[in-house]
Amino acid sequence: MTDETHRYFKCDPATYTQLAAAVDQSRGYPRGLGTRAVTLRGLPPFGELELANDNSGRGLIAIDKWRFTPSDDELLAPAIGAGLIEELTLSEYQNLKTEIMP
Amino acid sequence: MGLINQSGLFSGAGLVDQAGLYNEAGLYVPGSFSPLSLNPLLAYEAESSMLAAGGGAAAQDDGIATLDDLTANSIDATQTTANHQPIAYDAANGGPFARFDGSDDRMSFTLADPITNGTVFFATKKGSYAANLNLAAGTHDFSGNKISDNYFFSNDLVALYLFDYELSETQIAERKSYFVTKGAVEDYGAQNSFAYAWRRCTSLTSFPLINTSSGNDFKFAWLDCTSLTSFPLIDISLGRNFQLTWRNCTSLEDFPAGFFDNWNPSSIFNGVFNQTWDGCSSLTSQSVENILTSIDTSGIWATNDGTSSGTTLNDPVIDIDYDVSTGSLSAATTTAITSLKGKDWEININGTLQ
Repeated sequence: MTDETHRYFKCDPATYTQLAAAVDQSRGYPRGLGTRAVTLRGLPPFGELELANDNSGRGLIAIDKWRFTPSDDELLAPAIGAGLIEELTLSEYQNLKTEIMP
Repeated sequence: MGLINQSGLFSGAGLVDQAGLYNEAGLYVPGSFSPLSLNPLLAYEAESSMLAAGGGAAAQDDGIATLDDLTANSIDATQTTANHQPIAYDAANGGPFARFDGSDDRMSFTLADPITNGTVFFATKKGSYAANLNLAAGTHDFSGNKISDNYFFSNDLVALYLFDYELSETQIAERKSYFVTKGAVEDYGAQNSFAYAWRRCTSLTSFPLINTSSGNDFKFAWLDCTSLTSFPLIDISLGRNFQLTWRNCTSLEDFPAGFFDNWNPSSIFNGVFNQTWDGCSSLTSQSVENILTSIDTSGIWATNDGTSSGTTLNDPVIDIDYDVSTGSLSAATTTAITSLKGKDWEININGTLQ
């Protein structure tokens, strides 16, 4: 996992949940319901994210760069502008995690 | 269920030469061997198991929602969150394989019954191995290299098999040979970094003798492998970093003699042995002797290049915990400690600087 392969975010819970729902809508998730192979969502629920170790109550997520579309960045921009989502460098992300990263 | 059981085409030793699977030169002849023989409990193969959402075969770049179990047990592996799904690669792009990103990609399967002294077999693009394990009933995560809830080692999975008994060396070799014909790499001999490779494989009870001759980074490699009781004499001659490598291997009793005898790295990381054997609460005093006498035998100094003229490491401590009930430190250990201190090493045993 490097700065070349992933983007890193620290997310306000409510904002993350709204954005995750928008991601699901844009990708057509859930997909495959009723079959053996199901994709329920694009991003994990906020409750599955590791919380930042700064007591901010915000969650941390790494997302593969190839998953992003231009419209995703448009979606993100207002939340980043409002400080509800912070995009991090890999080292910033690592420093906010409890578990030591590669 | 497997197509061929142990009492069928296979001899008691698991040899298959009478079935014509190997030619006179000892080379594998494709097409005559089924890896589904020997009744695996589950079997995933990139060639035929990768399903995208909806159940169709996963195409290039598709997220893999399900790995179809090729046995009749139908223990499919699933991942319902796209951000955690491995990606399918097809034959036109070097596959078929499932690419796990080494960050958070993983899948999971659920066992109805526990496995005792079973075998897990991984065939991957970095190497293939089989190891013994115990697995509880319930759900287990895996990534491209290991059954674990740690996903920090990227790998391209060609096949994963699980057996509820111990495979013989011959049976393992057959499967390695077979999956090499499917694009897997037979051993890890070309791999430089083993950092995090088997971290938190808590189910593994043994680890195989694999080819690590090119490895230079072993940090965190077997951290928290809490069921390992012994460790093989792998080649770590080029290793530059052993930080936390066996930390919290709480069942590890026996560490082999001579492990570092041929240690000859081109450079050494600061803190090369930082917490390396911390939390190894079952390690014997003989193992401590094995470790320290071997590092001493290597002649390597606690410097950036391992020579007496190099720059002293910022953290030259060798951290070891052991079970004092197995005996006090031997005279050979004491002699090694004195010698190592003369090479600028510091030795911390059970939290006490020697």
